[in-house]
Amino acid sequence: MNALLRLTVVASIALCLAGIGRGAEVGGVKLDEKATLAGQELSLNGAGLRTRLVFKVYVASLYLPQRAGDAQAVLGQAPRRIQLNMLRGLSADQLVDAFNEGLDANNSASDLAAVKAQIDQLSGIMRAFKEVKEKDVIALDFVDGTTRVVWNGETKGTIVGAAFNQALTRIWLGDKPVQPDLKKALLGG
Amino acid sequence: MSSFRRVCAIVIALFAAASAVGADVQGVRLEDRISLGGHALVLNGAGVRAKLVLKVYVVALYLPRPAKDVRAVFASAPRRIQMNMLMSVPSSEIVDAIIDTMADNSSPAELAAVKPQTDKLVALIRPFKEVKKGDVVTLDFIGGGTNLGWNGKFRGRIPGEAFNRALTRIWLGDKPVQTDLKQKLLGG
Repeated sequence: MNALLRLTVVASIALCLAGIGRGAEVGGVKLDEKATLAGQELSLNGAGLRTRLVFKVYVASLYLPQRAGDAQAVLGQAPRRIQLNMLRGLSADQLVDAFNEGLDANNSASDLAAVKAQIDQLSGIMRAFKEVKEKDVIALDFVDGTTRVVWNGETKGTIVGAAFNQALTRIWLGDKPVQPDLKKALLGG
Repeated sequence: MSSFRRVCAIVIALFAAASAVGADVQGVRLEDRISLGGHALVLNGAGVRAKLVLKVYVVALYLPRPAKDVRAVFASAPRRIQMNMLMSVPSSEIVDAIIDTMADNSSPAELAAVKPQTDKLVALIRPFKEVKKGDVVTLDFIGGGTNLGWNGKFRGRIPGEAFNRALTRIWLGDKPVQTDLKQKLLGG
């Protein structure tokens, strides 16, 4: 067998094996293509994500030294506070997912990459909450170039950098805010 | 007190009340002013985050041969419905969801015919208190009965094909829990 043919055969076998082991991935869950049940082989016919809508999640408020009517004017001021008063309980994971989706939607890939370490730090701080309950208050305070994560009046962590706080603020005030009418309300309606 | 002084007192009282009121959004009282890092901040605006989509579970359907409609699914055995939980859910909520969606997708006569089996499923689920994120629940239809599996362990068997059909219709019936999910399970 010449070298090229041998390489082709080996590569083809490797691809076949990879294909067999691949399975499907839905909502971050890896599903096997096959299952054995009572000695019979079953194939994955289909799979999907069950979602649930929850209503009235939190009241968000924005505090600034001077009133601002647009995002630019908000980001030009310090200190500032974004406060979330929870109207229902959420697991920390759900909160982290919601933040990360908002961050992804409102920041360019390069902006996100630049503050990835800080985003991971925020996720870690919030995961340590385990869950937030109805009436809990989360404040994101931007003071002296640092974001303080405050949970029910207690500072739970600090994250360095103005770029990170801007990325975070865009969750609510960016071009694709989590909710357009909420963006308007935060900018004074 | 003269009437003039009384009016003044009322005006002052109203003014004091107004300056302490702050904003009220959805029953949450927000201060008009706060102090942060030695600076006075004013409330710029406030609003409600109205809704959020939570990811509950991934559901998968395994069959001996591909099927595109419910009839073809019911003609296949054995079969497996598998749920990989993406969030923790109390077992009481699961029981309510099963009962409600079974009722949406079966006639009263069909429901009555499988009531003992439905009660048995509820009795198997209730003791768990909750299913946790990462748990895998399987409903295997084998040899004319449904085996409940929890993280790979057998938890109980419920006899009867009619019951398994009523259960399967939660996802594949005429009023499935989620329409796009039904399509996905049927390979769409």
